[in-house]
Amino acid sequence: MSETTTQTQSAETVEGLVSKERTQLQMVTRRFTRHRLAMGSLILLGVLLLIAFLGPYIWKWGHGSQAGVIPIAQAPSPDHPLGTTRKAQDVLGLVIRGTQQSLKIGLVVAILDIGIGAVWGAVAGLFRGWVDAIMMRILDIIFVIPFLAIVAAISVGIDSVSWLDIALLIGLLAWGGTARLVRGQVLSLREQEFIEAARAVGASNTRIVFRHLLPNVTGVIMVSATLAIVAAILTESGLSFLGFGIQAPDTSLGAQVADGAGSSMTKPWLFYFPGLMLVTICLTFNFIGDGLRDAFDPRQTMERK
Amino acid sequence: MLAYTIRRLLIAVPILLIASMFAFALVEVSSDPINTYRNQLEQNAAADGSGTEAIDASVELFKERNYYDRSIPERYWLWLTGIGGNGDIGLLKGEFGPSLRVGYDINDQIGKRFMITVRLVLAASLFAIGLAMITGVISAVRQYKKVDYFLTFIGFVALSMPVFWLAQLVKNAAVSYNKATGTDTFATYGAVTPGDISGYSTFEYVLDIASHLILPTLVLMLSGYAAASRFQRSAMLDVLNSDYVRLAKAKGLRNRTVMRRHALRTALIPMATLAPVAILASLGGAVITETIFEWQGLGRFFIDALNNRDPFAIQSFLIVSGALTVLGILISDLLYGIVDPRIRYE
Repeated sequence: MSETTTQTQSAETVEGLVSKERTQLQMVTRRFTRHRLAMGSLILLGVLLLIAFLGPYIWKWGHGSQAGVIPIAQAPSPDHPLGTTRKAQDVLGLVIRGTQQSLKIGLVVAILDIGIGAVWGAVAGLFRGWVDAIMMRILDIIFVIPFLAIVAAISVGIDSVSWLDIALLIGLLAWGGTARLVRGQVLSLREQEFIEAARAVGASNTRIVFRHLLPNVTGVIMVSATLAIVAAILTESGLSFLGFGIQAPDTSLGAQVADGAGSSMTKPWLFYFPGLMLVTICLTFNFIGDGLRDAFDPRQTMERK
Repeated sequence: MLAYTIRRLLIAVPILLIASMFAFALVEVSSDPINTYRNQLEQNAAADGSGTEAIDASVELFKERNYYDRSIPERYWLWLTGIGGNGDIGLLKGEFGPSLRVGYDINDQIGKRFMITVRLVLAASLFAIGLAMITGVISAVRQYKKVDYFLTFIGFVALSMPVFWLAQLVKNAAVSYNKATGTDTFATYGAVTPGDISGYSTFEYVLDIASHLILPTLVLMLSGYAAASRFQRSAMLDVLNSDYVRLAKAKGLRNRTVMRRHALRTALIPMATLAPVAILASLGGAVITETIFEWQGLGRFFIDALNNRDPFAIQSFLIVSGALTVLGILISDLLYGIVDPRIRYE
């Protein structure tokens, strides 16, 4: 025993020979931390969260309009590092608020996506037969109409749209992708011995879904959730750009880009800063998703590339 | 093959039918034109002093003209079949229903705009899939080489780009280029050059359309491209790691022959399933792209309908785009059957 340990230590660099047992969580964390882009993105996400939620307390200007105090449509200056808008708002204050909105929406959508989509997919895959057929046809029907159009059609009916309205709308409609993926995985998992064993000892369907099936598809669910977050943030900003999303006096990155788009040649700071922030947020989540995909992939060896 | 086609068509019908109920119900629940109309009249009444009776009468007339004197299921049935209507409603008769806007004919508008959007969506989907095939295969063949990392990074950027921001960027770049060179190489406004086109020859007309199509297509294809190229990459990787490709290499075939004769043919097949996804992505994106490039297409029609809270117009966009997607699914199913010999129709 002690011999093996020393061997391991001496052969630390040769990954294939590691004989110490690791739990799945340890392996996943290890693989993830080795994915440089994903780790960088995770740190960046931390920074973005700090900016979004601590920023409003630290930065002197909010996202509101302060005519007379804030100069109108001024280029970036030491007092307003990202410039000001035509409505006497500080662009940095606006971008901070917009980032916060995007992240909050992403969070709510991720929760709903996992909560509804994963369970839906697991149940459909476990039961198969007509239950599965009906559950999947329901997904098909939602899939047939462009998502942006559905959300826009509903959101025009709401009087003053808040970020939570948009987040709930997107979250309640957008879990189809996760459900499909989870179902696919469950269809192959349910044939394996450990499910049979669970059945043999008399486990209920609920127990099988929550204790045996869902933990086995954690990787798929998490990757799919990061994709759903990106899709949700892009959908919300698209809606707000068109004027059917978050309404003034509140703001969102999409609405800010819409305000700046017309004068993007003459007053570029109005257009580029919110847009760049949006791209940064989405890239961050995409890279984290990519890192998770690699980390959870059982075919990945410890030796990368 | 014929039996299979018919069966696929029969499956498409109920999906489209239920999707139409879904679209109808969504718009019904989220719109309230009667109250809006009444409020509008009451505001006017305050100004010119007409009585409540006149308002009630107008509202009744409004209800009757727009079929709001019926219950929701009755109205859905009417919207679908047109039985018992005034001849301006009924999807099966090709009528999309009356518009709340004065002098606005939904049928006429959809007829005029349909081809404009279909042109854009088709071009974007085809280019997205075509380009994804090329870069996906290159990525897989050069896995974990510089080219692969570069293309993957481009894919991630494309996946993270908001369509509206990218569209404006591209438009600005084109405008700057036009200014710098003093030409109008890139058309940044509209689907065709406005004004008289009777003097155009067919060639000039096509050229005009193409120059307007370039930029919006470029913008619209990116979101579909990103997903499709990842898909193509993993499909190609699966094939490259399969036994029969290893066998082909082992028996000493040249690398080029292995790729062309054995690997590529199989690896391109799964892309046939991506057509509906690409179409859906570009239909959603078209709403935004058309707004920025000022195209008078279906996307613009939808935005106008939303801004005017015009229920039948909103529903007609939803159902037309639903029909396009179902058509895309159908085509890709049939295509899949043609290109993949392993699929048999019983």
